[in-house]
Amino acid sequence: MITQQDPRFKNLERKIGLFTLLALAGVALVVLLVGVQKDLFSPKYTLNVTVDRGTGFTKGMPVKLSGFRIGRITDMALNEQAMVEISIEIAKKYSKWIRSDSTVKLVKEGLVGDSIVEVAVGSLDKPELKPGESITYLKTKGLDELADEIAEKVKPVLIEVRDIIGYVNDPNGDLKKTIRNLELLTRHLETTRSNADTLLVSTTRNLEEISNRTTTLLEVSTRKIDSLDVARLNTTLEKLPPLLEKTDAAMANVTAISAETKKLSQQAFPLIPGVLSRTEELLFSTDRLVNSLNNSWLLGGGPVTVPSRSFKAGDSHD
Amino acid sequence: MTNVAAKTVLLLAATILLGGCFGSKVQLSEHERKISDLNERALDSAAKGYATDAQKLFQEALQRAAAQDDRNGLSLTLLNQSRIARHDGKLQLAAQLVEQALANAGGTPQYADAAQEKALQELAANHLAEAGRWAGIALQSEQGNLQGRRLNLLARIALITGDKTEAMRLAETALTANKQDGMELERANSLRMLGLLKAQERQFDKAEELLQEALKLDKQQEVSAKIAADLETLAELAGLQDNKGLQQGYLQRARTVREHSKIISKQ
Repeated sequence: MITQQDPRFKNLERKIGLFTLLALAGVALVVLLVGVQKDLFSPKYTLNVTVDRGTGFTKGMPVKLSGFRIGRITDMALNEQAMVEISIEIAKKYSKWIRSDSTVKLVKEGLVGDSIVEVAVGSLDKPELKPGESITYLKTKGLDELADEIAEKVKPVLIEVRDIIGYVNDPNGDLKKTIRNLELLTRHLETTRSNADTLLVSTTRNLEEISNRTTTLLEVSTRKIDSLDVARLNTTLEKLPPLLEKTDAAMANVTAISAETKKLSQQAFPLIPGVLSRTEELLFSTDRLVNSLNNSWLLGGGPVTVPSRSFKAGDSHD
Repeated sequence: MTNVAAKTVLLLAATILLGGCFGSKVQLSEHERKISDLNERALDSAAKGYATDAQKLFQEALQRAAAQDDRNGLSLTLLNQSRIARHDGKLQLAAQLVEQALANAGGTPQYADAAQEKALQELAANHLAEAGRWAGIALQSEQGNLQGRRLNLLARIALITGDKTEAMRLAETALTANKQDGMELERANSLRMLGLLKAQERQFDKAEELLQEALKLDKQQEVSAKIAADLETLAELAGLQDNKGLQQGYLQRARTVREHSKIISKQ
């Protein structure tokens, strides 16, 4: 049995008291150090913010200036106008940055970070805000509001894109029709060219034939004249005028055929520039359409350039 | 899928789509594009020597512009026709057309172009006082960045009338304006005139430097007529220096350029 006489128990209460005091002093020191580090003992002052909706604000939410924590939300209450009164407590040493034109807004730290109250630095020529004064709140757009706004802007673009795709794919649309018409016109142009070639070839052949026949006729005439003897000369001379008439008639036929050929050529050739002009217009339109499609961002092109109205004004030395 | 998730997906899609749309600019209306196309084709046909086709296309452009009461379209087509007529030496027809263009372009930015065309026609008809008056009107009416072009025309007229001091002053002002506005062809015109004036003052080195710079600019712009004009001015400079061999060389080069430009314009 341990007795009170054991020297180890001598001054036991004093030792326990001293140990407890030291422990309490250690705790107090730790609290003091943490408090100093967290600005718990630095003087503070309160500012008020009035917002129409309290969504996103919570008690204890950090208040930051230039990304640096300067205080927190201490209180939130609904006022008589059904608006939310928020009290923010800010360390006194930062009051020099918060002026009458300073503003606060609710922001997110990063895309998925926590919400904080961000205070904007005021103009140095404006007076500092006193404790209990109100600071202006700037409403920021929420994600849903932004989405609605962008959706409104994008809707016409989507409709236009849909229309463009429909326009390109429409089998009865301008693009498909233009290509079909172009093919058709090209074929017609080829036919026209072929007809013109045929006409020219046949004209050349006809002229050659007429030339040959004339030559033959002249040869026959020459042979007949050669076969005549002097005795039959008078008879021949009598027969010569009808023969000359026949030659004249043959020459008249040559002239008529030439005139006919010329008329046919005159009828055929004016059609060619017209066809060429229409083809050129069609090619011009197709080219522009294809360029527009190529340049549209949807089909991989860059931004569309604005065509200028074509007045090629001569320069000062034109 | 929740409402918020759907909106988030839509937001991302919208961002991608909008990214593709940025940078696109406003296009001309269908009517304006048609008028522009017709004018381009007409000018192209005229350059190739198909005068009848060009006239038909201009007439169609005029009819369309008149039907839409499009004053800009009318004045632009009339100006193009007038310019073609002037190039073909049909000064009377050109004068009629430019008068109509001036009447249509009153109060619009095109009035300065119409006044300049009028000045060029008066110059072609050797009416120097009238040409100067209209060139002055063109300068006063200019609302855009073509001050240098207008000043160059005034300098050209002053050079023809023999007022070398005024020509020098105007050409130097034009050179500064054209440098600021990035009008390279007009800058070359200013340099050519200044080179010629320096050559006449017998400052041959300075003249050579200015003319070589003008030639370099015109070569960059690939305008045959201007290159030929630069070579002819250099030939004139060589003549003033009594360097017959160099003068012949420059003239031969100028001739070759002009001949080839005729062939190329028909293609």
